[in-house]
Amino acid sequence: MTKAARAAYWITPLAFCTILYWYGLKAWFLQDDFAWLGLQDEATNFASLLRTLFVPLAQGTIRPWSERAFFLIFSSLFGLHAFPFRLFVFLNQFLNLILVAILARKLIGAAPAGIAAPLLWLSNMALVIPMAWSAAYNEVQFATFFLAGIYLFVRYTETGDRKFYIAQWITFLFAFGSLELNVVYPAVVAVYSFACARRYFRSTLPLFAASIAYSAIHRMAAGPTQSYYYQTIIDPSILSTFGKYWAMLFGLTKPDDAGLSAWSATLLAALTIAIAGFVVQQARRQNFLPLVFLCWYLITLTPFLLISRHITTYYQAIPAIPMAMLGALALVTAWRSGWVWRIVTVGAISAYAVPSISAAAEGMQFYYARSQRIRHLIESVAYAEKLHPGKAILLRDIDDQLFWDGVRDSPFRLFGWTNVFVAPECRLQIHNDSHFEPLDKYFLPATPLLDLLKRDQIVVYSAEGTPLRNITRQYAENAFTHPAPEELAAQLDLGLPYLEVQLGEGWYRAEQEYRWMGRHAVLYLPGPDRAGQKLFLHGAFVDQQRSQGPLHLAVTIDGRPAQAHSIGPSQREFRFEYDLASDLIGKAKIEIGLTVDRTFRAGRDERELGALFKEAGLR
Amino acid sequence: VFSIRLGGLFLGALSLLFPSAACKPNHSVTLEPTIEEPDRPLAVLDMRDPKAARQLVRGFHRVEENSWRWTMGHFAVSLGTPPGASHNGASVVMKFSIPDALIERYKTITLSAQLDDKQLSPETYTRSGACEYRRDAPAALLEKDPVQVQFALDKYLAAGAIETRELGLVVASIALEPK
Repeated sequence: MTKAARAAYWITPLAFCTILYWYGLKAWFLQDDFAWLGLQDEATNFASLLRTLFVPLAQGTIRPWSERAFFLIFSSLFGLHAFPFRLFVFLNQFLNLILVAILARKLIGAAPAGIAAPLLWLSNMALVIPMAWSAAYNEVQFATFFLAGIYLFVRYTETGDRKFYIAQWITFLFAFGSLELNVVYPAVVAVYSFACARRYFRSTLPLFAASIAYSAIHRMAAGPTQSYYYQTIIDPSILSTFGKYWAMLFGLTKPDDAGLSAWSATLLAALTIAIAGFVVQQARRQNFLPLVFLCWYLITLTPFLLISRHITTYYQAIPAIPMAMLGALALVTAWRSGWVWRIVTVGAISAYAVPSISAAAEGMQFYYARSQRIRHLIESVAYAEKLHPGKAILLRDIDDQLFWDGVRDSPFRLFGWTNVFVAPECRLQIHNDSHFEPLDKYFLPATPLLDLLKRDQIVVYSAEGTPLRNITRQYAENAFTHPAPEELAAQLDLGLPYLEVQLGEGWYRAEQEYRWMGRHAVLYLPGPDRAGQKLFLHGAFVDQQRSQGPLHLAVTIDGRPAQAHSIGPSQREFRFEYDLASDLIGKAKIEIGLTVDRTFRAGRDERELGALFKEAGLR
Repeated sequence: VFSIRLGGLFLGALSLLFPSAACKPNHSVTLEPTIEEPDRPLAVLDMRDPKAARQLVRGFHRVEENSWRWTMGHFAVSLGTPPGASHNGASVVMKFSIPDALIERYKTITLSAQLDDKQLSPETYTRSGACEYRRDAPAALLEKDPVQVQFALDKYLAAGAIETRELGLVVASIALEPK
């Protein structure tokens, strides 16, 4: 190869990646990104940093390198400027492409495989989300560990040099901090060694012990998952889940599609027969490498088959690597087998690659457009916060997609903005998911909204189009001339000033997430909307109170006394629940009376302080 | 060797975390200007708000403690009409304090107000401290925007009585509240 050809050989996949996934470089944040961007608020010293890195978070995952460290480092350096995050993902993906090329060339033993395999992998739709969404960077990072580990193991089997074996172990152990999928890595190298380097099969067995130990420790630390979507389900539905992933691998369906069209089903059957035929034919010739690639696909996919309630394209980002290598191997083999096989193989690969590339390009534009809507929303709200300090901000025209992409993960709280709400009329357009927390807290109910409008303490913006448009005047005109029926918030964050219309006598101003009451105070809530809902109260008990012994809290619910509770001197916080009578169901407003048996004064503060509350509401 | 280098890379990245842990969180974000409504007169004049000052027509002293202003015996403000006011009407609401010195000297004071040409009913106060003056303003009076509200005290502390300034009430806010 000439120097120019060699350069083209290595640069082509990187260039193809850059062109196909270009929108990923320009994408902004969405959904889970905002939770990870908030990590830096929790890492305030070395102890909390370690906690932030290693304590199980979303769905019990522990991914210190690919999620925690990635977001901590980049957000502390660049804030909410997304480009550095995206650039780093691309650079890591370039490294992956080089590793795929090296590994494919080594395993297949032909230079063209080193260019075909990365191109086929890049063509897969499974890479759209990892290349567009920073929260899915774990797939990109884990691919590095996965490929490096296999490469080192293959080198070990080639040379017998234990330094490769040790290096592989180190890579393998580090990979646990990247993605839990690493537990299947021992099976990947075991299959390879069994088929292609039997002498080294026994050396893979200790890796299984590490995977088992990791699984046990992870299970102990994270406990069983509470998330509906991530619960393990072992039943015959695994087969249909596999069928879905198999069709998704070739870009013939999407997670939400109900089934396959006749054309897609025919194409899937043809591709399946072609792959099976190629693997069997090669196995009969004692070439087990295609079978190894197919096994690697199945091994790396298996963990995702067990969480059949959460089917997503990007779970195949890693399984698609061996399938890309299988495709490269088929191409190389066909090239050595004459024109008929060349045409058949190129036809089969084109049938996969052409629509997949087109779908991947569309997918990138789709993710880019979604992320840009969120960027406009948040950057406009940031401007509005500066323009209207101290006022609440109400967002209108928030549709379902925008809500779930850019509001539900509370991006505004990153900036300490607790004053941003969605207009109550948007609620009808936003779907509810009973497996997540209720959405009530995001919406400002009609009654507090009208109160804030009256007091000129809120500005209303329309998110229809960009940037946000201030429509306060027009919105208020409509709200005052056509007032909505009374609607109270079912949950009161007493540390905020926006729901004060639901506070009766006896309360002081909100201060630092809490609010003091005097000896007696009143608040108003809507009646429960179903049987079994309870009233809950959450507050704090300060040192000066604790030193005076227990505090007795008497509660009345719509005039009827409820069970009295005592807050003991050992309690720093209190949380009480009260049953609600069935005749309160559906009432627009109920009165909650709170009375304590003693008060105190703090230093020069002349207020008579009774109890300190954080939240009250129904649940 | 490659793997050891990779491990080194990650340890290097980890070490970067330490300064980040000690740093103030960085939530910097670009600001995107919103499309704002045309600037219009405020319906709520909070004495803490510098923007309210331009609607204090006469009779107000400087803002004190960043929260209130002394008035003179007669004072006036210009108020924007709130949304829906031309349909529902609104309320003229003034939140203020009556100084002890005024009540000690005169026992009672009467506050009267006039919305443009329409006289609103006066109110007499007999105690010092926090008070509120609230009167309905019918929709017919609120068709134009802004409107002027003039206040008058029957008794006040003349200049030189206790200080060089003429002093009336201590006002926190004046507003036209929508109904």
